[in-house]
Amino acid sequence: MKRFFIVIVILATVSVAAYYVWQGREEFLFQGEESYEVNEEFDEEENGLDNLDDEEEEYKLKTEEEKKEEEERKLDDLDEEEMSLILASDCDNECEDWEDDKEEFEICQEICGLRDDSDDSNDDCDDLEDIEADICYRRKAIDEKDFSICKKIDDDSLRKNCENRVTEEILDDQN
Amino acid sequence: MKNKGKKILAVFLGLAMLSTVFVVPGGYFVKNVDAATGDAESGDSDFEKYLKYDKFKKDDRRSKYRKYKKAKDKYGFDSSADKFAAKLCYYKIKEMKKIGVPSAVRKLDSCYEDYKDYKNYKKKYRRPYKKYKKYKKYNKEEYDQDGRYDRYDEPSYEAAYKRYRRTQGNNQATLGGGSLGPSISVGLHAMIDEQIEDDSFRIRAFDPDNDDNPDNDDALPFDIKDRNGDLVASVAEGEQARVKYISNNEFVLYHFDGTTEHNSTTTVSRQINFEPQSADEDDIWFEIYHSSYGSSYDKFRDKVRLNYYDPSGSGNDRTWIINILPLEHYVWGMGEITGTGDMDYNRTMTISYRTYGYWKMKYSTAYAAHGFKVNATPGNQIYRGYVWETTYDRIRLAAEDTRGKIVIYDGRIAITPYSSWTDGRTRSFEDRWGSTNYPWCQSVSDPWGEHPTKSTRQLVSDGNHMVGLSAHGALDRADAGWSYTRILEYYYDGIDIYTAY
Repeated sequence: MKRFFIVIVILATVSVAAYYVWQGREEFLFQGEESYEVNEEFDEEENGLDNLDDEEEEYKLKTEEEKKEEEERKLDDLDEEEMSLILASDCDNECEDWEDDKEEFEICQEICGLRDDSDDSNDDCDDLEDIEADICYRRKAIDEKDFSICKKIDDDSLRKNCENRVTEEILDDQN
Repeated sequence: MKNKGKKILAVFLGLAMLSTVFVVPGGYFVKNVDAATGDAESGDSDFEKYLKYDKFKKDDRRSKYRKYKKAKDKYGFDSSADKFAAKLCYYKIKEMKKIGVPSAVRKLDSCYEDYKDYKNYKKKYRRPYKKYKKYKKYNKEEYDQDGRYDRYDEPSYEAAYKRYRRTQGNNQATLGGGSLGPSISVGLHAMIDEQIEDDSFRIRAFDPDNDDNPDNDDALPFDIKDRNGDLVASVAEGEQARVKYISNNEFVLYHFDGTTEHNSTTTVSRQINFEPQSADEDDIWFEIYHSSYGSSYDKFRDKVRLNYYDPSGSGNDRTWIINILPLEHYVWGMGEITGTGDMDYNRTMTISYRTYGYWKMKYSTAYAAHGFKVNATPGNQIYRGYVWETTYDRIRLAAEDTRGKIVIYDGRIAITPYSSWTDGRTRSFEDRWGSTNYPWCQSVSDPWGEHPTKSTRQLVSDGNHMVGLSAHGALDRADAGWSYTRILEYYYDGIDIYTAY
């Protein structure tokens, strides 16, 4: 029974402490806001900023914010592209990272030119489905040096590689 | 006693509820406790937050990819023919529904099972999970954190992650490498089977101090390794190695001591690497010889490789001689220019060559099956190695001035096409070749690179695509005092020059 009371006393103390922490937090937050408002008023008086300046400032900040967001989005895209696509480095180890996934392995081998291509010729890629169609479009785009065919490819790695390969074919052909 | 017990229980429950009200809603107190252990809302630096968020991100993507795989295995089709058949059934039954065929009758149709399969495929796999296919590279044990880092999925960690990434260079130049850059593999020459069966490929190593036609006595020792990097043989000082092709992707090695060729029983499969014994690769170049290689540009820095290319059933088997060297050494040996003209012109061109090499290393798969990234011929960029480098040493000076600098656009490695001449205006990549992927290649006025006599048609038939930089324009502008940065920024719109290493 005695222990039970001790537990209750401890719990009560904790609760009271929690209450003060909670209150203290709110005070702290309000204090921050107040000082911010005071600073703003002071700045406006001191510098005599009119509404137009405010709008310009806001516009600038917005543009900067948008720029920053755009940069971050691009960074994410680059990051994702780096990790999600089969790149030249995958060819260096003959696609061994993809050996446990039949379809990905096939895509990697196709990209790296390691795939037996004896019976895959087909003039009409539209008759095919999925990876067969993608591979067909990629080959056709490279043969015809035509970027627009790459756009029909569904798989990200094959499509990006298609665009890079067409670029290579075009540039190599010029010299 | 019973009532007293009830009262105590009531007080206890009341206090417990108060604790819940005051402690839990803020979450603040709880997080501060965690901060002491460095787990959340802690004093972690951006780098530490970056590491944690990165782990969360990879684990999250790994788990999304696994969901995709699971759904695909369950609802995907074994072949595209099966899928196609099911798709037809799906539209057939849908049509029946549309025209009001009763459900009981539809279920009797032979297509009904296929209809259900395709419906599941669409609803339970394609729509919710197919988008995660792109996370396939995350499906590795090393990224599995078992959800332990999920708590870092919060804005402060994400923001710190992005901040840190930005400080590390917000771009795709991630190949690393030392002060001379990452290694590039350059295809020098290909031999057909008969050529290397009849006549051996010969190779010896020298010190850069011995660059005036050294003889066999000056030859340095070097190692021969197989494709796994295992040592196969060591060539002694004053000797050279010889290689012949036997059959079935097998080569045999010999060594020549200056007077006699010693037969060997050492065979190597598919790939042979010739490497310096010293760790300092800067201090060696290899001289190569084969009767089919008619060039006097026969000296190459760092490492040489023979790689057997065997496209099944095509009859196009080749043994490629490949030079593997840091990107800077590659640029030093560029045979596209001789280093004449203003140094800013040479600096411009070396940045362009380096960027092209970098792009090839990251994205080129055209020669992947042959075992290299870039060809030494004019089809890619003319590379002539050590002889060229030492004959036209201003190229090396320009490359050293711009070491590691490449052209980037919005973080992407910006491949930099160039032509010798234009007709007074460059062309945009889109107008010339129909792709919007290269927005830095816009059409600009180029009065300085305009050919004095040739028509547009003649220029194009001479190989001047007129996209990107104009070499004669750049030469003229450098003479007029433009810096390499200004020249590149003029011909490539919106680019940045980034130091990748």
